[in-house]
Amino acid sequence: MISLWRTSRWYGQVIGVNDVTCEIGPGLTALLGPNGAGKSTLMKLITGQLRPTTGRTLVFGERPFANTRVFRRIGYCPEIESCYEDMTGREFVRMLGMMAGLTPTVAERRTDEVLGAVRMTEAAHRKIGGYSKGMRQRVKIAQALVHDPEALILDEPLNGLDPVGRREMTALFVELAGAGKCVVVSSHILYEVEQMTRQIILMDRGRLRAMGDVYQIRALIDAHPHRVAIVTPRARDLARRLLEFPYILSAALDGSDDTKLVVETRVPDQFYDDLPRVVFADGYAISEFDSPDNNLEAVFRYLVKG
Amino acid sequence: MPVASANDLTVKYGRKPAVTGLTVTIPEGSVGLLGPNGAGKTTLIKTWLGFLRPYSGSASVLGMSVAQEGLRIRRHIGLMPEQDCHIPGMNAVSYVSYAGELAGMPANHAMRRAHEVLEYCGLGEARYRQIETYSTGMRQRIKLAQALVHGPRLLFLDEPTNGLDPEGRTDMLRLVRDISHGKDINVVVCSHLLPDVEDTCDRVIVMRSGQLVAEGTVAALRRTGGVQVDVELREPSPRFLEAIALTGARVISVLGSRCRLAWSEQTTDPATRVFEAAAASEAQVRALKPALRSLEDVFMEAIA
Amino acid sequence: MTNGDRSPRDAGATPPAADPAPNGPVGPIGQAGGVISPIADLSYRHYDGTLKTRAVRWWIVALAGIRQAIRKWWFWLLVLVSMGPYAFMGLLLFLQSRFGSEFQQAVFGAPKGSKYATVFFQAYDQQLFWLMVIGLTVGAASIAADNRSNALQVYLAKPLTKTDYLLGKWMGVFTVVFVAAILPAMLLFTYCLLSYWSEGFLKQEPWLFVKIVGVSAMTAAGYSSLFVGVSAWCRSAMMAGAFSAGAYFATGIVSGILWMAIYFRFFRTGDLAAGALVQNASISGVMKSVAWNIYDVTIRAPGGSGRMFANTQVPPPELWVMLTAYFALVVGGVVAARVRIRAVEVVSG
Repeated sequence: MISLWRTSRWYGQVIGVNDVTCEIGPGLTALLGPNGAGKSTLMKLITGQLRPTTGRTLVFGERPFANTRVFRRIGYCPEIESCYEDMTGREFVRMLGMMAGLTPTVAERRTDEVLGAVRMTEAAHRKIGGYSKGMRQRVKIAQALVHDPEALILDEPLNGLDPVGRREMTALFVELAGAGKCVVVSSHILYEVEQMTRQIILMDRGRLRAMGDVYQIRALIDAHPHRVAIVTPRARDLARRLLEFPYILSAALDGSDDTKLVVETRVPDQFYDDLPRVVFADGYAISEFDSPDNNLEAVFRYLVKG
Repeated sequence: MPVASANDLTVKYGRKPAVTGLTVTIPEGSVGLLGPNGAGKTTLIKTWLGFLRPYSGSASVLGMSVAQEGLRIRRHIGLMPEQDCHIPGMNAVSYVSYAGELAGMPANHAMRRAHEVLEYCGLGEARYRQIETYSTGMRQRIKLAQALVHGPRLLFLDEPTNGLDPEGRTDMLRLVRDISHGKDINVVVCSHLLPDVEDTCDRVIVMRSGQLVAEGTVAALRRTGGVQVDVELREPSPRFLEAIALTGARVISVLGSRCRLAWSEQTTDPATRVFEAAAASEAQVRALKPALRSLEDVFMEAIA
Repeated sequence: MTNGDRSPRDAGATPPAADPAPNGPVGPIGQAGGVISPIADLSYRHYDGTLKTRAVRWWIVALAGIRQAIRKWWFWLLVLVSMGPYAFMGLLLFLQSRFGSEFQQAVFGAPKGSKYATVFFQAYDQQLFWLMVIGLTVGAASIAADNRSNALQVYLAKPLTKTDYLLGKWMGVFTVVFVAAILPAMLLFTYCLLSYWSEGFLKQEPWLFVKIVGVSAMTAAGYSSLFVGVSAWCRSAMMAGAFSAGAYFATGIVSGILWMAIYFRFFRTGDLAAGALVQNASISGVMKSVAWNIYDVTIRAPGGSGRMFANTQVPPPELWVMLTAYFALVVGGVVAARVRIRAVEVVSG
């Protein structure tokens, strides 16, 4: 649905996006990166607010810049906080629906629907000037949805929402993605992103660092072998025992009383097969074990900081 | 001694009550103040800061009454606001030492202390640049610095990780953890990001619609009854679930290759049972952890 | 270096030198009450030093405002330009003392009231506009910038009341305008004192010094209230500047037009009093009129009967009217600002 080919965009000397090639299809994809990585630029390129300086950006097979056909099929929820303070929430959403090409009757109906979906039905008749941060955010999400677009580009959509709201909106996005829409969410809150999807696009300083399933990416980061933390009373013994395996690269003891052990290996699959055998054979009492860096935050940290 | 308290406090915005008959005590240490939007958390903090007048009831901070000793209170508390709040035209050093002087420090002490606090917050050479040129991460650090410069005993942090990228969040949380543990400063953290609160606070207070609905230590609130573990397999395996059920476990929830299992109180060594069941069903166990209720679950239950 | 952290509560006292580690870290070596470690503990330390009482808080705010202004190079250019009228008057006095009384007749006419007061008043009249610009430089951004960047939360979370804040902002503008007004006046005064003492400079007008100070203070207060009052209601310095300057010029233009209309209607009767009131029914006019009354002089200006725009000696406008208008300006500005300063945005509904 969205495809970029060697797309670059710079502002004077400052590089926004540098030679990015990727394809984004239906489903929920997370767009991640530190501040200044080029995520906003990428989103602006996709939503047709900017033209690439070199390369090609296609959305639904067309160039999105100033292209109303594309605009009608894309919904964008930007990060900015200011709004038309004097309009009510309902008026605002309806106006944007009509701008996206809906007829007044359809716009009215859709406005009701999306306001219900974002739980703003009661407050919709009040002026936006009196809204709290969370309410504004919901209205922004509503305006992105009102024209039932096939693609949704959401920039920090959960910003300002309380935990209940975050859960509700996350469920909404997952539902929309499940229905076949292409949903791109940009967020800094990694643990939330982890719960939404496993497909990520990671950017850093304008360049595309990684794209795909987060666990596959993790498995490919050779420079940082997998770490597994094990909590057991006889940690030192277990360490000695595990070091007998050739694929264990290191075993570090953690904790002042020798109860925690962290091993490193490049073949975690093998390790997880062998661990139960060791436990049964020598009777170690393991209270917990897990891999502290087999998650999105570790991937982010390893790839962005290098 | 309670660090801050409210007694039958009612605060109104115009006609509309934001907080009604609230009685709450913030103990020493680091406390998370949670609640959905409109719960009255901000109102409560603003009442303690003296921005709002109580309609009825009383509130006190560090043993001083808000109604009578507002100025004295503000000498000993610091606020890190949620929004950007720098004073334009200054660099970090001028800004933080200005904040110190406003709090009553003599000018030379304020300057020295500003440098010290900026160093602690991780601002190196950048402290001599104008604040307008700063990134979000640096602005958050300055906000923290201006709250700390006069050595407050109580610190209010409103969304401390607002707008920060993942690296910035990690750094800020580390800073908040450092301040709130072992430095003899009491901290109240207001945040919608519950894992942040889990990370930095020992106790939480949950509010809803101007009322107190739950409070307690994070550890106690997160404890589950009985013996519960979270197990992650390489791939989802119904055979494993059957096998483990035979050991007397109850499957509480399943999400993909993860599941939460519960046994009765007397069960010892659940790990062995899990491994046995996995061996029997040819599944591979990739993680095994004692289950804790997430703070989010605690929160949802409290406000339901 | 470190006496701020553990000193006793009275300002400036240093712990006795004999005790190397009173009750806390002293310099790079030392640890609270225990073993001395060679590695310094550079983590966060408490501040237990003095915290001053309320009295000086507003001055800190004022000082910050002043510093912001004087850092701009064009501010000093403005100050230099604003000194021009006094320099010019000084030049005229010098030429007059050289070239005699024909000069005096030509420039000053035959003034009623004291001669030197006229000089100072005329210089002041010319300087008034530049004082407005100087006041604008400091005052437009005073509260507006804080509104825009949300700084009020920071201020009010400190032991500072709204009154402290407002007083500080007001005094910041006042100080700058006052100094800009009085500095050239004092220079001229000194020149006159040195050169014309023998001609009866101070002897004829013993209160002149007080009058100069009074006029400068009055102007500074007026502008201060105007700019701070408008600034409190704006969210950007430019808007505040635009509104204040706009009010200044608009009132000036309207009063000028009104005066011309009335003058054409009534010029034959030559009702100077009414004419003077209308002509000065503006912000600048009000302040000029109060100063005019303080200096108590008449000026050669259009307003006479007979020929159009005939020059005549015009006395100051009615004092009580102008004084009331002036106080309305000063009090109004302060009240407007006070009402607007809030740390809490009331979310309605």
